[in-house]
Amino acid sequence: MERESADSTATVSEVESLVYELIGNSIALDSGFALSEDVQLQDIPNMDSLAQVRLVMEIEKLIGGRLSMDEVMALESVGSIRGLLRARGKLRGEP
Amino acid sequence: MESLEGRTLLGSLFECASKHPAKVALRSGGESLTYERYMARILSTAARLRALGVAEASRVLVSSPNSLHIPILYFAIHALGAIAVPIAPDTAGLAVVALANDCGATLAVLGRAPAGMPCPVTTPPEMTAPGTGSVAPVCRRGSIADILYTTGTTGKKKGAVLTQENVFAAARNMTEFIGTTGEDVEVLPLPLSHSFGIGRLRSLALAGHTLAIERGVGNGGPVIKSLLSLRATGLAMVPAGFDILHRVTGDALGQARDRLRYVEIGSAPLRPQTRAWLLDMLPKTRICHHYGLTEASRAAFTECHADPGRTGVGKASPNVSIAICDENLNRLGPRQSGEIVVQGDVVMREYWKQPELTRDALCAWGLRTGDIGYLDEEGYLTLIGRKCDLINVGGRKVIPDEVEEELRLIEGVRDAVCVGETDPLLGEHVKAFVVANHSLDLAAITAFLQPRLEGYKIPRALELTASVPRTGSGKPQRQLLRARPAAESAA
Repeated sequence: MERESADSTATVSEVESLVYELIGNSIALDSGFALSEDVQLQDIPNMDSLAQVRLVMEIEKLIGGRLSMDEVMALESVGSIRGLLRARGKLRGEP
Repeated sequence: MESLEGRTLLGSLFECASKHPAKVALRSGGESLTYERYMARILSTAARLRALGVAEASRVLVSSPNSLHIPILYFAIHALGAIAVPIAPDTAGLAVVALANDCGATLAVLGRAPAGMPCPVTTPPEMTAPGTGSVAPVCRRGSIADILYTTGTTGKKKGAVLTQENVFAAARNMTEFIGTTGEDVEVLPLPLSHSFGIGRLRSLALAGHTLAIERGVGNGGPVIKSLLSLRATGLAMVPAGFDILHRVTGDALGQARDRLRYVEIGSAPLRPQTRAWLLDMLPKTRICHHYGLTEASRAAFTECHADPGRTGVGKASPNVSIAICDENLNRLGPRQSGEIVVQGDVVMREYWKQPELTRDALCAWGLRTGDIGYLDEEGYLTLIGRKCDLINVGGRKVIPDEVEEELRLIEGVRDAVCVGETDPLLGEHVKAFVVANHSLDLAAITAFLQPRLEGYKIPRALELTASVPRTGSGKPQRQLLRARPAAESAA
């Protein structure tokens, strides 16, 4: 798994807040739940299939277009959301 | 297998295993089990359960997210002549304790142990890990197989008691109608704690195919991925699952059209647009929609390609008969609406420890479903609504579903559910709970509905609300809305 370097703190918080925002817009996220990279979306409390659809719609709203089939299928973990946002140019300053 | 009296699911499963030991029976989360290894895991799990005090007629609560654990535990419990009580993994702690008390559980096999459990608790991985123990299976046709707790639309849980004969009959009927064979590979994203999902597991014991158990529908992507990578020939899902596939993955389902031999759909009505999309995407697939209850699994089936113009729920399943009865249980003729009564060996024995509820539900004709519908001249069943949901406006009966369908046509209305509210003059009038994108008032709704519905069907009261309570399968829980204080649901 890719690790953030110590000097990219701003990037980490940007990524985290964006992912938290996307997921938080999809479900009532328990503030005590840690969204680490390898957390599988299906293991997040209340993240049922309808919430996962809302998450796809939130991401589509952010990038301003539809996700491809491959992108949808790759959305399995918190890390995969970050990977997708980076690939779609929504994260700045990433290594 | 001499100790297996007559035909039972477990007996059939062992037959499949002796015929095709090396065939894959189950796949889940990257793991797979051949029939031979599946049988060994069932027997070693049964030995562990027995060591914890499980014996014939013991009730064992089981709960786990979809995985290999439930298929192993389910038949391990049956191998001891004990009773499986599957419950949804998201059941709240207090409710788990209440169910364990209600069924008098000997043991609970749960992912998480809530405080105050009345019986020992162990975890699914502890019970189902590979081992060398074994038991001589005792599984009798007349004994109780499962207690399935159902909330239904009333909000109050009751345990449907299903015998080995019941669960075998349900599996036989669905396997016969759908046509599942040993060659099939089926993708199953349905919860194995619910009658629909458990039914697919039971069918495995008869058809001897391969079941690929998914954690859930997810965003639709995992289902498509499994369908394509496993070259699946079968799929079972609720209508909302197909709507999710359509919304998120577009027409990707169509890529499976040449291989997918059947889909089974149930638990909720199929919307006309979903049905049309499926017919278009899967022109060669048997698209089988069932009507059933936990108390009488798969009572009726329709195959959507064969019944293109019809929107009802189909004809009685093989070996099942359906009657329509009036309030005094007199049988009604074609196109006369009344209560749907189901008869056949799929009908449950009773509600667990609820003799009064059982007496109300089981009559000379069979199971009173509480659903209202009619049969046409060919025996094709159309469902109209729930008996307990009928609103009595001065003696005239309003089926809330009819009003709700019209309300949903109003621009900005996302959901609508109607119930009866006490009326000093009429006994009851229609009250609508509406979820809308913008503010709406009764005058606007009345103006919209007036050309569409008879006056007595038009709501006299309106509450805008953020959401309406629904069961896991999407049915509105009107009882809860009726009980809801007005202030709570006010916009």
